[in-house]
Amino acid sequence: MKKLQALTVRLFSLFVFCLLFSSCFDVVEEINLKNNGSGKIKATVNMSKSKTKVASIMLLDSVSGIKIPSKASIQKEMNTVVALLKKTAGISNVSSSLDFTNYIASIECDFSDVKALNAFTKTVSDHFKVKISGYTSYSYDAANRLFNRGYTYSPDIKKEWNKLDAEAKKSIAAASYTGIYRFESSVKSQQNTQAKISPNKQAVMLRTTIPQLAQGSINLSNKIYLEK
Amino acid sequence: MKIKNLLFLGLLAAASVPVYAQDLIRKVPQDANIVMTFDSQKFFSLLPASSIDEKFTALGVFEGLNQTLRSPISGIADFGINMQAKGYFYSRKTDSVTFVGALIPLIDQQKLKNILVAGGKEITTVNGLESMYLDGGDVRLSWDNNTLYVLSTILDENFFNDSDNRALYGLSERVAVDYSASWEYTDMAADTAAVAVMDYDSEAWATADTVVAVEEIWDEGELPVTVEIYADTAKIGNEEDVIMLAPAPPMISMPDYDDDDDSTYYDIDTYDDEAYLESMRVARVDDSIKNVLKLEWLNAEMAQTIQGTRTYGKEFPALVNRLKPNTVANVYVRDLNRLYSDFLPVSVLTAYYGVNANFDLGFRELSYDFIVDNNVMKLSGTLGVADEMASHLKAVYKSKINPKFLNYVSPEDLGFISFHMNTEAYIKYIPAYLNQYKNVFGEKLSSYYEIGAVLFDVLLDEKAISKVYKGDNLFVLNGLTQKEVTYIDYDYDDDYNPIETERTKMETVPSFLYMFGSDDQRIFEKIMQLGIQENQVFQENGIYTLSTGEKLIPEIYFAFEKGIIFLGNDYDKIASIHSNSYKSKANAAYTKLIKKNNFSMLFNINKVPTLLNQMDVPIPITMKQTVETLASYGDVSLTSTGMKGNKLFAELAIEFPKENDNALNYLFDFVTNLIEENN
Repeated sequence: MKKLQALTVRLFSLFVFCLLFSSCFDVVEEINLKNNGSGKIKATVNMSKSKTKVASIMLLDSVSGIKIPSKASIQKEMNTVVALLKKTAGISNVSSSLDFTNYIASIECDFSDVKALNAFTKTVSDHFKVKISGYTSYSYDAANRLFNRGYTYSPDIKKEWNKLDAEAKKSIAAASYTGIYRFESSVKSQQNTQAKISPNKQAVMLRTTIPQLAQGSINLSNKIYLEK
Repeated sequence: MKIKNLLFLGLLAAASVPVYAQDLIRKVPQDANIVMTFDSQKFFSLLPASSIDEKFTALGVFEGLNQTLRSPISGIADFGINMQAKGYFYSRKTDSVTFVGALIPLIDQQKLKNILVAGGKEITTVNGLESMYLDGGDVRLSWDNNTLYVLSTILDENFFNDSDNRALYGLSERVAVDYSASWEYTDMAADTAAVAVMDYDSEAWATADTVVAVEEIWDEGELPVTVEIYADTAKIGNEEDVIMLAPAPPMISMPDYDDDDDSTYYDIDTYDDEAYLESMRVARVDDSIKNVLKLEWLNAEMAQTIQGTRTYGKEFPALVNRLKPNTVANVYVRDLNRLYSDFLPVSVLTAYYGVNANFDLGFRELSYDFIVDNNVMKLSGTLGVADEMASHLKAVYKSKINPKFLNYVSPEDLGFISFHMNTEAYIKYIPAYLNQYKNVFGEKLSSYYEIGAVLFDVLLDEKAISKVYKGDNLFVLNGLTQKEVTYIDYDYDDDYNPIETERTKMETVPSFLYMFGSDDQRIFEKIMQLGIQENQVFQENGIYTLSTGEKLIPEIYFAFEKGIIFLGNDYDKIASIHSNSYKSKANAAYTKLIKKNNFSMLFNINKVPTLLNQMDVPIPITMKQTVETLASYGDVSLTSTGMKGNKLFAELAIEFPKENDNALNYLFDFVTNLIEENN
């Protein structure tokens, strides 16, 4: 168990380190929702733009006291997360990929109900000992065709952000978050002014930068109404 | 021991060394194999004692020492050491014991005595000098008005494993005992060399503690005033090497064995195997005899040193006189080859593997100077080599670097490594070099080994190889270059499905250029052709590109020019060299360094902070100040002029920031500040 915790800390450390020192990385969250409330979710972290720097960091054992995990331990950790998700109620067809050439990691699975999405984020946040699930949630009202993406700005994120020096903040200025929600039905309307409806009217996308998210200058919450 | 205490001891040792230099050096034995000279006068002129006292007081070093030594010490001067004289440390090895000694000049013996007395140790008079024994008799201190004599002994256990030597000194005979048949537990396996008692009157010995017995003998005056004791049994019969034991000193008490503290001993109270108990008792008796021997040898050696009756090393005063004016310390090893042999378990290798490890590597005397030249600190050394090796190495190092190489080192470069040798002479030297080790494989196999060495000589065409690889090399770390790299990004279709797209961007990476001389480049061209065939290499406009698959250096470019092969990761540079349009301003200092030395390595430390910044390399917060400090450093260089006479020369030089008076001062501040921060 201790070993597992150590691995977790190491993977999370790498993630924190990449956030701090990879000048460019993208986090993409994609949800494909069917009218009956089931669907597919995929989360991707793309550090390809910073692959030279990440490759350099991976050559080190530790930086600033943060242990840098090896490729093998990252793979092992990913396998652990996949195994945990497979045991989560309402989650199926879990798969993952790790591309150490371009430094792109992704994990995806099917969910039987939107509630299972919350179980998904809880499982991941519990495992990595981060409070994602406390600030993000999903719900779907099939009768009214309303998809609700809940989000509360975390004071913890602000606290961590304030710990960074100006140089570190500058280095992640271009890092981005993209949230994409696709539907079987056309989107009737959506409430987040930062989000856009796709040309085919069946998807909503919100793109922002990590600094905006960290500083709380953007809200990921959205209520998306679908055509009946 | 805390770092600051170690620092203090180092400085104290440093302080112990220069006015009586000529006198004290004449007390270093002729056969000392290591001699260290420390010039206190030089040291304290560069780093005044007052500066040290101030820092040490701030760090609490003296406070800690006062608690340990139970004596009020407020400065280095309180130790009574003469800070205007040279001190010496030496080591002398015989077949049975190693003596490690120090000759430390004093200016006020009373001060030293006060400190020693406060420590609670007993002061006795031995050889007419006040003395003190430390570490259970392993170390003796004696002093007069001008000198503190320090001597310690380390017995050579291999010597006492020899049955003849054991018999000579009355030790029990060692035999291997198979415990497995009668002993059930396996923990004893570690102690396979058990002591068995042969022709040994255990009753008689069991009733007396050997130490006490010897003490009684000495007290009763049964030991002659002088006695012949040979610390080096190989010299038995040689009048000059007889140690005439001075009047025996009052016996010091020997520490009792503490079974609980020694993992090799077992709790005798709970273990009832009589054979085992007997073996333990015999081992104690053996140890007691060895302790007595050790003390006798220590006293005899010290007596000769104090009385100046041992033949001193006549070359040592000359060595001290030859030291350059800025030398703070010198380490001299009489015979490096012998030093290696002393550390190798030769007898064990011979006994168990039939290996004759007494091979001659060809190394002789080694001398290293620690020099402080304003803000430059240097370690400058010479290594003497055997005549045959010297003749080979002279041929190997008889070479010149291609002067065209010098066009490719500029003042903006981060650093370089240059090395040139005569490849033909080097290949010819390999068989002779290998033959040095032939005895390692035993007499029979050494013949096969020799055949192998001759075959090597016959089969290789040295001249042909020396055309392929002439032996001159230059590697230049140019600095930074912009490199186009690809990355994966996403575009989105009408349904916002991400579509992976390959994009490019410019990244700053370090660039290097390596060149070596070659008059016959066919083999390299063939290798490139093979690479092309295997799709690993492609060629365009006379430049070969090798894809490495590595992210940091994804591609390496090659250009085959007249007499020189170039390779590097900056395409523009390689292309300009190939098209004869490369322009660079040569650096006179670098050119001189490269031409003067067979080997030279130089690194511009002061360019590192800018470089890391430009590369956007993450620097831990704790390291930021250290990295920024590098901007005020100068060059770090390692050079070797090759052979001069029978000696190899090498020098490491570090140019410290000029903010302090000198490099030593800077280094002291740096280290003490580091300790202060960590406290």
